[in-house]
Amino acid sequence: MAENNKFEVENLDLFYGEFQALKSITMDIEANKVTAFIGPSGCGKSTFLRTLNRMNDLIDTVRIDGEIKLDGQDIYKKDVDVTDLRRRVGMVFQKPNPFPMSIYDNVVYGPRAQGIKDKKKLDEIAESSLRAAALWDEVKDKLNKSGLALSGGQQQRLCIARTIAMKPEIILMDEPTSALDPIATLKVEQLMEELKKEYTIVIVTHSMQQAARISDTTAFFLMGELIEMGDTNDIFSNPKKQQTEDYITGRFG
Amino acid sequence: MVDFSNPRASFDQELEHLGHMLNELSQEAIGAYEQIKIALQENKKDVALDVVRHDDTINEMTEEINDLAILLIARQTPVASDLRRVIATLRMSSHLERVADYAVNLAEYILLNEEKDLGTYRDKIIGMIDHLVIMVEEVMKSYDLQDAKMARNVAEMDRTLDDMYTSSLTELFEITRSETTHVAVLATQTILILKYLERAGDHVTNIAEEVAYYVKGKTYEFNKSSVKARYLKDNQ
Ligand SMILES: Nc1ncnc2c1ncn2[C@@H]1O[C@H](COP(=O)(O)OP(=O)(O)OP(=O)(O)O)[C@@H](O)[C@H]1O
Ligand SMILES: [Mg+2]
Repeated sequence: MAENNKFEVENLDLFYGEFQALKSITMDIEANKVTAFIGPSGCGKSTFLRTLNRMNDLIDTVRIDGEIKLDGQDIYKKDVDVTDLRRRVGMVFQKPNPFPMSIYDNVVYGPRAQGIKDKKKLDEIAESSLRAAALWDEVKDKLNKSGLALSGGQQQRLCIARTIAMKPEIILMDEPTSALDPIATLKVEQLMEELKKEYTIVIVTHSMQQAARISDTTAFFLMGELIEMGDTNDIFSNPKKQQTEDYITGRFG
Repeated sequence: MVDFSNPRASFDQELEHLGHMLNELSQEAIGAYEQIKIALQENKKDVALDVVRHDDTINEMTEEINDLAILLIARQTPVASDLRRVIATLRMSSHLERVADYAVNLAEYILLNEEKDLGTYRDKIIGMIDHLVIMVEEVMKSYDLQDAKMARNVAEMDRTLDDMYTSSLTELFEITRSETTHVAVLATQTILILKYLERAGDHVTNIAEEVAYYVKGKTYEFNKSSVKARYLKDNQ
């Protein structure tokens, strides 16, 4: 295992029933980096992202071949504790999905579910997570207000805080800013820059500019295949594959 | 009816327009040198004066290319070969502007001196201009055809200009040392003029490097093999 690889994926195939959605994907995802997945709609970005914390297990037609190692350990082995895996590999979705409860309760939802009851401990987790999600200053005076009363951008950062409260090692984000305005988007992007110091971040985005701005590594998918993966600067200035070039310049179709 | 078959249509049009503008600029630069040739061959100072006057137009065209390139970057956020094309075109335009600037220097030289004084150097200058014009035409062709090899060949052609320049130096330096003030001044001016033509060739080489960068995505230095490297080699 290479020193700073968080995930090592080898020859991963994924089928939804008869339909093969991922074809022999092999890639390494580096620790403390932002890795972006790009590609046209339906190419398998979300499907692949979900294999990284076994969210696809919830769909019963799904069949998977190949191997995904997290810190060198196969995450699809029988004895793996999937709940623990999902704590280590947190996920933020496209649409902010705060629970219909207070801001505070949203953030400490996970730790509470894990059995932490100590009020002081929970307060600590709430504050540090909200700070890490760059939301603390905006909500510290209204922690008992409903999470649903926040703006879209604030809700998304609340969801990020909720994920951080679980002390994950990796944060997966599936189009986390597609429902946000440009300023809220920039805040979330800035946040990622900050978060990658402590976490490994994998993000799916349809915005080429976003991938170019925030990621260290970019992976381009097409019809279930990984076409090209490399340094983001190289991908956006001089991609090696014609299909990548066609996609990022908008000639694809 | 909206045509959805090519979502890049308007962007492609603008890119193409940028290319047209660069081609026009190159035509203007070539035109300036053609006029210099006429002024030299037919001893027409008014034609040389036209070249000086026309310089503003060339500067404006360069600025227009600059403005359009910046707008394209701001509005379309081009990437990969699109980005390289915009950047290369932008830089090529400023090299072309410099090439045209040297034509103005030549015009001033013609305005300052009498035809009979130029002697054999008149033909030498005309020879260098002919060579330079071919280089500009070829490098623009390589840009239109996106042909990096062709661009590389243009850079090779630059050696001839370098040689034409260096081969005259000894004689001209000798004149500056041994002749009367007037002739020495003329010889000095002639050295400068030949130097400008040699420099214009270097800018065309830079343009060739831009074409190769745009096509290949790598930075090239075609100039390396030129005067300096050979100077070092010849003087080991
Ligand atoms: N639950 C499912 N059952 C069957 N097929 C599915 C399922 N989920 C996704 N697919 C199919 O798998 C392929 C990949 O889908 P996926 O959602 O991973 O694409 P994506 O790259 O995330 O697209 P988008 O950019 O639109 O979100 C698509 O053809 C899709 O129709
Ligand atoms: Mg998706």
